[in-house]
Amino acid sequence: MTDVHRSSEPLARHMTVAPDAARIERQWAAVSSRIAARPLGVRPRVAGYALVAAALALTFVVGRRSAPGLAPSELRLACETAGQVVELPGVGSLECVEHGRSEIVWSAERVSVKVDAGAVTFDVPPGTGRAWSVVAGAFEVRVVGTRFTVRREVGDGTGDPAPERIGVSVERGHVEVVSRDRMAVVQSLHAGESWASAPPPAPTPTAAATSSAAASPAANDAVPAESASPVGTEPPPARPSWEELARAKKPREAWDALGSDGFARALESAGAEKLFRLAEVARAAGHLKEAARAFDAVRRRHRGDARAALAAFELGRMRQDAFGDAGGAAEALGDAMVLAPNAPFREDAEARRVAALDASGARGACRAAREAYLSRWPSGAHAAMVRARCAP
Amino acid sequence: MALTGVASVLPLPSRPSAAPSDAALVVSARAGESWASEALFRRHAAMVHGLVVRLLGRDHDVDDVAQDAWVEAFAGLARLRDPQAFAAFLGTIVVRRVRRLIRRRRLARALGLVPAADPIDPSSLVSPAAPPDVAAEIVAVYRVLDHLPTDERLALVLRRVEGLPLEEVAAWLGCSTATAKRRIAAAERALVEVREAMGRVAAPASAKTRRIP
Repeated sequence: MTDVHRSSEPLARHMTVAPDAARIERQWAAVSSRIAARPLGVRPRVAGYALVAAALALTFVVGRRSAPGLAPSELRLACETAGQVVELPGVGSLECVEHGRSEIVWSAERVSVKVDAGAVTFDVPPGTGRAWSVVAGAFEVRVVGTRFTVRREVGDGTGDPAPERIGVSVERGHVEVVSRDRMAVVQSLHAGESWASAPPPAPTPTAAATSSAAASPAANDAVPAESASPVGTEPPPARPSWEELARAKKPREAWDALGSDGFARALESAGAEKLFRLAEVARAAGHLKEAARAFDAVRRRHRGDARAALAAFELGRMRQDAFGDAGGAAEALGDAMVLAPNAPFREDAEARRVAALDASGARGACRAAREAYLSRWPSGAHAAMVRARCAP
Repeated sequence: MALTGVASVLPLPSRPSAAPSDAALVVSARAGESWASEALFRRHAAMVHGLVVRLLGRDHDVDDVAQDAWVEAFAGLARLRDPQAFAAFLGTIVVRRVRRLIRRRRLARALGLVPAADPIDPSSLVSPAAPPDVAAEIVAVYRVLDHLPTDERLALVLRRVEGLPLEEVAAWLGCSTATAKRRIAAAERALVEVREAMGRVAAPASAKTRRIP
């Protein structure tokens, strides 16, 4: 017997099994979609809730069948962890998109949800035979059949005395926001519309004049419903919060105001609007990696939000221009196109994606993207650049 | 032609790098940071892919096994005690997934549910730049693989192809060092027979002419 190869060098070093970039991208697309459906770190808890929900749902259904004339059973569930999904078979589902605290009561006639804190996205198919009511603070959202998100912010997690703020955004269908005090419809919302409450009046009206700009809610996506509520009566905080500094176009000061772990805490708990602002602050302050993380969080955690597509586009631009991550850029730019097919930046996104695919070596995908761009914008601003890409 | 070797197969020793460590990425991924999950994937994707191909000897089912391994790894991050040992943790999962697939295939074949698989084509795995003796050894290893019991097959690849120390082979296989040693020895005996058969057929030319087209 002769021992042909006895060097200490592994044979693997002499084998050709390296995957191409396109294959890696396909794998990541498949893996990320699967882990998105089963968020990290919360799986056991979600599974636990799902089991409890299923068991209780079964009890509930059996109970209804065996004793239809009795008072309806009630199923009480909680939704607290970001990513946790509560399925109510045949009735709809809801997902805690942010860490918070919500209680769900499901009975034969209705589903009542009380959002104490955080944000919850509801998916309610029409014709389920149950009325849905979602209560958040002083407001109630009445549902017919729709997909929408209710958010209740009771503080920004950075120590500032932020007022309570209720937000509702609708992806599909139609909801009505009702003031529980006045029992009147405050706002009727259709797909693509959102609404946010004004902060409640401060207990004392002192210093009202000095804080009106700082204390008013960001209103770029909100229709102030409680116009009678005095805005700007909040007493001035001891020092401006990072959000106030951001609105005042002072990104470096805003970044400093976040503190050592403020970014991480805000990243974990903020809604879409705040996350987007956080990303812009980080970028303007020169913290590009943090900016990329925040943009990524917007597009992944708030896919129904109007800012998600722009966040994906900005993330793609940063990966391409600042990080040299062509594969990652292609993925983010593609996501931006999926999120908003008719966005104003669509042409730029497509052209950038061609360049990114070219740089990542994904020849087939590059050629397909090039042809798509040139067929849509044969005389586009980037047509010359795009034509020169994906050379065989 | 790109080569995949031990540098991308095994956890690297610590070296200066601006990139976050595996431990940092694992901690962030556990906290739900999708960017960290993606960074872990991109860092180790080639390792996982290469390991699956080398363990199976074929390109079939590689993507499915790799994806399942990744999903299992991300779902199991909470039970990873040493976050810096992510690569080894991942490797263990890959080995377990491949073992499951091979056993399922063999059972299906034994029951007549699927036709016999085409033999492994070792030539498709060998780098054109491989020295002749190395190429011959790779061919020998992959000729014997389909004839070995599953655990011996995996032990042989981890030891001879991946170049893992015995203790790591045992850890990745989830068995004792003694068991790993016994499996490797049994596989080596089969490998000797194949080598001798190859030597009888092609000994005069083996030093100069590789069997790789």
